[in-house]
Amino acid sequence: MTEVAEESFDFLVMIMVDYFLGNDEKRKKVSLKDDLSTRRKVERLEAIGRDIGRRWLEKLSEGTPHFSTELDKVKFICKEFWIATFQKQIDNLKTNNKGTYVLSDKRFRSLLHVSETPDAIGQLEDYIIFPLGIIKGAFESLGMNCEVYGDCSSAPSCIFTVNLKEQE
Amino acid sequence: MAITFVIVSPQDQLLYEATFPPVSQTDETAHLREFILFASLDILEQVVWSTRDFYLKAIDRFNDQIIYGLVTASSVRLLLVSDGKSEEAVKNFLQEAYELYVKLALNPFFEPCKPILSTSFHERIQKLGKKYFV
Repeated sequence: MTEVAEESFDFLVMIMVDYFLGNDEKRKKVSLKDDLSTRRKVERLEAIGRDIGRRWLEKLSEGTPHFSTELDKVKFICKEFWIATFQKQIDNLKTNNKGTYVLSDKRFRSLLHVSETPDAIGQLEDYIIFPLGIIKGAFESLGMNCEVYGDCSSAPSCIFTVNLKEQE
Repeated sequence: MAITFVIVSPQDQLLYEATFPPVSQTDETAHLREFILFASLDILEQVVWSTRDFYLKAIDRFNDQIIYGLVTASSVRLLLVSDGKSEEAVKNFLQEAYELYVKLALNPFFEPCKPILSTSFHERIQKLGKKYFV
């Protein structure tokens, strides 16, 4: 199996944000964040992550026994999946038992090398779009359609809120 | 010994089908085997809840035909109906077919829950079938 340096992957993900969300000048204008074309670009980046998350989970879960409960599936994502994707486990998992899970990661891999400068407030979220997509894809692959929100206000810690949509 | 192997999506759509030996003029039995396979999907869902393994062994019986199943984490089902008696061969075939499916899933040109049209996947399954069932 060929090996690739981790840093090259980190740089690739960082530059993907620039590539998909347009150049720096446009992004800095916070007023354009709700623009339809910006949303489409964000969706595209997230869709790439979702695709990857789905396939990756299929490969990762090869040969693992079935999950009997929803909580088991979420635990699998918090442990094995998170280790394989972000090199560590989730630090904290909370649930309200009604389909909402809160996953806290104190040192989120994608935010380790990124920090906000005074003239770039609010752009940190752009860097978690792609990992968010991967997480969403992993949940979808296990049969749990969901909404995932990431809160990175206290970087490098990141809190993901997962709201499961109604299952059949 | 006639074997029919299918891959079914979580929503019970047929994604892939293969028979060993390849179907000739005996269309009657081929259709019957397909029918048996789909009828056993209900039983497969029940068996899935009763065990934690992903390989479900024999899940159903129809006359002298036995249906074997394997379910992946994403609920994709691999089913096989056989009138032979070599359970070991079936188990090894299903596990290797599962590995082939995972490799296929990593392919960016493959979309989950769409029919599998990849020729290389088809060739590999045929080779696998020849290895175990001929």
